[in-house]
Amino acid sequence: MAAPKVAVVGAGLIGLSTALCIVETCPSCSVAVLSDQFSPNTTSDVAAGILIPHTYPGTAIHVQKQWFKETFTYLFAISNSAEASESGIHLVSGWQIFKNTPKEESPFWSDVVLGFRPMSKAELQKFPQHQFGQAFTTLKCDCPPYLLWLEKRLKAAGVQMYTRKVSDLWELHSEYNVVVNCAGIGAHHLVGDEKLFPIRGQVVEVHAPWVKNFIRDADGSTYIYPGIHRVTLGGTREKENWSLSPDPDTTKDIFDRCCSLEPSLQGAQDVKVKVGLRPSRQSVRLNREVLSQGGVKLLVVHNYGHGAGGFSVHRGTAKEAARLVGECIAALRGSSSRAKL
Amino acid sequence: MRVAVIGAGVIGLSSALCIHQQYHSLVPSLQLEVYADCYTPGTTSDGAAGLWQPYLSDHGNLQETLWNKETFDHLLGHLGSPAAQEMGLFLVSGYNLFTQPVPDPSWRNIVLGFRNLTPKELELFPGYSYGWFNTALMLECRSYLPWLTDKLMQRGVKFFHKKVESFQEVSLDGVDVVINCTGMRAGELQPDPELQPGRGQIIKVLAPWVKHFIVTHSTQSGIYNSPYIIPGSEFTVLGGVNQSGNWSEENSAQDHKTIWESCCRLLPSLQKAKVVQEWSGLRPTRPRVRLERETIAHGHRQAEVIHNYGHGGFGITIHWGCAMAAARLVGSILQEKQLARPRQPRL
Repeated sequence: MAAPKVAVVGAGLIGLSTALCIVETCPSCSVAVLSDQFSPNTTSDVAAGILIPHTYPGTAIHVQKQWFKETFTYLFAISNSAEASESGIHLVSGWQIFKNTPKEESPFWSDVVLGFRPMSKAELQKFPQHQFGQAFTTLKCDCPPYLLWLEKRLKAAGVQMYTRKVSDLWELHSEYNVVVNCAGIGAHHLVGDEKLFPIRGQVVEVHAPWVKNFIRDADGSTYIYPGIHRVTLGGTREKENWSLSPDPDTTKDIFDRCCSLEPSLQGAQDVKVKVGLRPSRQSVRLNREVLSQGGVKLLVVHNYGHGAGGFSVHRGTAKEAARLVGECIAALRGSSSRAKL
Repeated sequence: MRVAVIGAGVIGLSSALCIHQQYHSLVPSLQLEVYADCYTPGTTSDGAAGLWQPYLSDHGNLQETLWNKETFDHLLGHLGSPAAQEMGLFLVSGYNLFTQPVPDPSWRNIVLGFRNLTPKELELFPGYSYGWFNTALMLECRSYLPWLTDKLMQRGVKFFHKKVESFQEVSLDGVDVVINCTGMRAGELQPDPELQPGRGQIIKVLAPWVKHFIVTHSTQSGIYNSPYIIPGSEFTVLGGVNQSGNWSEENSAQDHKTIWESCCRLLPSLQKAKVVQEWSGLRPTRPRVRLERETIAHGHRQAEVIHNYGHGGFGITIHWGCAMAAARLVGSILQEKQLARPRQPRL
């Protein structure tokens, strides 16, 4: 059979990283990325990109841990290379603080990040409202730089990018052998997945270059993540809220909450407000599907529904999706050789 | 009561502030003046990256360890205040790297979250087999010195742009107490063979992705003679030379090459960093800080001099503790002068 044609739908973090994995594992494939949005207009561009996993209730912990470990290892190597600044990947240390001491003292990912340990009493003095904390070093992927870096590598590998709104996966059946659905929140309409719902997040980006450490309240709603050029202050978690318009009262609330953790932010300049819809699901949909109409088949691999944890597991799920694409191609080759008999 | 501070680096300005804070209400006649031929941003302090970190060993000099602690605690107390950003004060975490295990430093309990590095962390730094991680403070003098100056001017302290040639010159003018914060050039006012330059050179780059300090140590090379990378609020400082006895303040191409290559080896991502500035300065190095009182007589006049110089590469680290010690010495002089004042005759 001729070079298998693979279309990846979606050009956010998941789409681009999945396309890259496919290129790496299937050099004979012809890969294209189709999306109505590219960086800086994807959901991924709004996220701070910090590697602190979100726990998916519907996925075995050891699987999530494997995804996180693969992602962390992959990014760790890039952060320690000459490409670090271009890729937007950098190490950052900080604290996760708890108002009340948690039952579980160490999360499943504590041995993947660096130097994980409980905060000392002296460290906790900085946060009088909080009783307990964890200190560690992790990675952050700044966007747009990371997405642009992925796009650059894809283009160098011959991957074509098309700005195109796909309304139905079936519309691709005549042009492509395999379609990889990385549509994120778009999958709600694209494939009618009712189990996928938005959790709206508003963030405030500021210029505060003296902030070198991250601070995250374990409730997940208040965080300060220093990026290369800007600090991301967050946030909100509004279930089933589809609005992409920034809300000024929310901005003030985020700012107040963050200033109570880091008073020096009062002097922060150049405020930008952004909104993203976390594509949330009990578990990431990572499986194969065969669409058929009138004897014609289209092989589909789904890789969406990463919710608040996309950055933390992206490489791991991309590799799994690429593996599933490999299975699809093997199946296609199998059926095409059978057809020759 | 006239008190003159000579020197407007971090030592001079902080000493002045400390003295004014403590005595201006007790001594209504207190007049504080600062004399210097060099002000921020041209002082030695301005060249320092601003990382709070003492040397590895205090050589049993507990006094200096105490002053370091007083400085850290004082600055930590200011962290939560709105002044912090204006002062150029912020927290920073990072790494100290060694080629062999070393004992914990005197300051392990002063900084926050001090611990040894894990094997995975050491993978980041090939060639180093042992190290520490901790959170410390940055105090950038290009912000801190103007902030101190501002506070002093608000308090009515007078500034003079002038090179003081001798203690006599100042005391003949009517100054009662001189605070000698002349750093590297203290020898010009009074010879001090123990005071030697520790020449340093730094390269300032744009590398905002660097969020940690990395300080390497080599037992053969000695302190600061091994690469270090310190992220500031705007620039990242690359350094790692400490040449004893070298008085040159000219940038050396050889030192640039050494610093650049060794820092890039330590942190490969620096290869893409843009160089913004290069600077050389002289650490006023001494076996111990000279912080003591001296009565200098000339003719029938006596001048009280409080020496506060010789802080080497840890001036910012130790400055507040020394400022308070200098202020205490001023206090003892004030007490003596009160005792020396004639009592009111009884009627």
